[in-house]
Amino acid sequence: MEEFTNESFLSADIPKIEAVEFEHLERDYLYMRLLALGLAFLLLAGALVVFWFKNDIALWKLLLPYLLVLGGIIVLELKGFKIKSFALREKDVSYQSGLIWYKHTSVPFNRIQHCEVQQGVLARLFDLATVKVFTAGGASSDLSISGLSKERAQQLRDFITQLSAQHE
Amino acid sequence: MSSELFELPQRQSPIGVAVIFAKNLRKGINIFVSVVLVEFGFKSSFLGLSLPVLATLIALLYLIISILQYLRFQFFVASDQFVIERGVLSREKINIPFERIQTVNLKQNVIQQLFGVFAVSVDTAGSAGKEIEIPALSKTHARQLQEFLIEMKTQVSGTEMEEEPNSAIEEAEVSSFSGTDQPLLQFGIKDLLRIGLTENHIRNGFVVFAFVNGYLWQFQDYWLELWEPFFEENAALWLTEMFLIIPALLLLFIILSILTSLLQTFLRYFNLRFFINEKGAQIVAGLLKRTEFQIPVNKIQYLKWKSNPLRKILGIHTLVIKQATSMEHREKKSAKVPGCNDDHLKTVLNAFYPERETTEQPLELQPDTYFFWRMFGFYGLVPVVLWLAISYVAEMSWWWSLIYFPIAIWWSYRFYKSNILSINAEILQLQWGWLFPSKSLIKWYKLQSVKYSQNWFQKRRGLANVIFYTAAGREFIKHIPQKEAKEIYNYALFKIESAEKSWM
Repeated sequence: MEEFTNESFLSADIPKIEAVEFEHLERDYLYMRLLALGLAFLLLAGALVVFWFKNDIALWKLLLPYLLVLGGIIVLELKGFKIKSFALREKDVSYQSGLIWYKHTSVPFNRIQHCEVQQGVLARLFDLATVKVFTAGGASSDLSISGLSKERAQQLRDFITQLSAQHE
Repeated sequence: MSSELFELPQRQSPIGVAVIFAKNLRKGINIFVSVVLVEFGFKSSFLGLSLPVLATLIALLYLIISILQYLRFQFFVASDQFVIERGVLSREKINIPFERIQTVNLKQNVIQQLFGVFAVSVDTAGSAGKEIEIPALSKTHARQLQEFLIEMKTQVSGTEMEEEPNSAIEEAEVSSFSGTDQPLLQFGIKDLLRIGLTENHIRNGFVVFAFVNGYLWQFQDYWLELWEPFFEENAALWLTEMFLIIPALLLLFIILSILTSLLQTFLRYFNLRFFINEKGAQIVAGLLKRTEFQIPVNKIQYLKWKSNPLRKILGIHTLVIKQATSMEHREKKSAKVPGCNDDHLKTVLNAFYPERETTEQPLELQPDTYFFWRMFGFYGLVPVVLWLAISYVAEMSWWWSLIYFPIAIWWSYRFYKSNILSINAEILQLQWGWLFPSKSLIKWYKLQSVKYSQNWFQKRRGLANVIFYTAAGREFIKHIPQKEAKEIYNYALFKIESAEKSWM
């Protein structure tokens, strides 16, 4: 057995994921999320108007928290969007996201079972798509990258499928 | 093994009719009882037919369906896949490519035992993971099929591993353990009692409670009616006797829980035999339903062993051999061996994890004290503050919190201390839990993906979590220094990506 110290087995010449340049998502994805948010808040506004009519309550008591929450979420979306990004390396694919709850996942190509492109209703309007990467034994996808243009998503899927097939 | 045996489409053993019939009938009776009896009562009739006549007719119908199902169920091997065709009204064809096969197990329930046949269940762990079962084959036939499938699977997936000399041994099929092999562990009545009595009774009790509750309420009309006069007459008495009744109910709950644990243990682990050699493991156990796990060594995703306070005193653990399965079957299908002592564990580890014995010191990591403060806040501070507030408002006694508080601190501290991640070049070991300690041992290359996560508070303190995903589930370590977390993350990826061995 080869001799080595603790220090060397962790941090020797192991490639560092931190050093990789991450690619950002389509700007349209941000607009799509803001639109979805807007629709949800429109519904909420409707409910609040009904509530306001039925109850004798000062308008600002409803409007102020509404605007504060809406503003807060928009700021989080704008800032969070900058973090959402993915990276392809020679042997794995990674995705990171989350402003308050940061997450960073990598799946090596030699462990991928299959890879697919999905498109939601709203995403279709923006011509956006999601790439999902599956490994064995899971019920849900292990990594999903939303907010890619449909074309780019298909390219990415083909690329990942091709690389993971080499390990079959 | 010759594949000619399975090339032609074939049916199951004719006894299959009985097995399928019994299964259908059980389903039918369930529906019958819950729908007909509960909705319409015992004395109802349909189209002038009384219930017994109706039941017989339905049973006959089921028999015909079962015979058809039996006749239409065929399986065979076509080039590189295993094919099952089944279905009476809608024909279904299931193709299982050999490389997708994860595990092939033999099973027996009461009916199958009665007729001396075995079910062969084939599990494919994919994302659309489903389990395919051939309900009735004679013993030799079932065994042949099992060995054949395992061999085909190894042949298909074995091709890419030819560069590695060692893997030839590893990839060889598990020779089915013959009767002459000495089991590492064999259960007698005494062992069963020991394991049954040290089960987690409280959990079992609640499971039974929930089950009985759900089941009984379906029939409330019947039994409540009987007891109603009794309830009414004694209502006043019941209230005054509350002091007696609550402890009595508690005692009943405890006794029922223990009985359930014992029953469950006997059913599941009766005459358990656990064999291992360097090629794999085999577990055979069960009273009414005999299950047999046959696990080639390269199919072991990782090992985990757990204990509980009572078992810690006896020095026994439950060994879980984790295999790749889809999420839904994870609990049901994990191969468990309760009652392993330290020597047994050592034998198992030496057989499957020779890499553990290296000269180098493993690197050990523990969560930051932040973890303790979090636990303490969550389980100590918050409940106590709430309790004090409530007792102040409701004028209840507050001194309970004085007893609870130190216990919460002590428990939080021990739990925090019990978390250890230790790693060497080939293996990572995760340990956690104080009252219910568990340890997992994972070879790096068995991992499938890694996740690094960090919330806002952790970021400020420079801490992070690392989650390790395998085909058989996930394990994690929380609140370790961010620098080490990143190093471990990178090392895990490096080990997976540089691994030549097949991991599944």
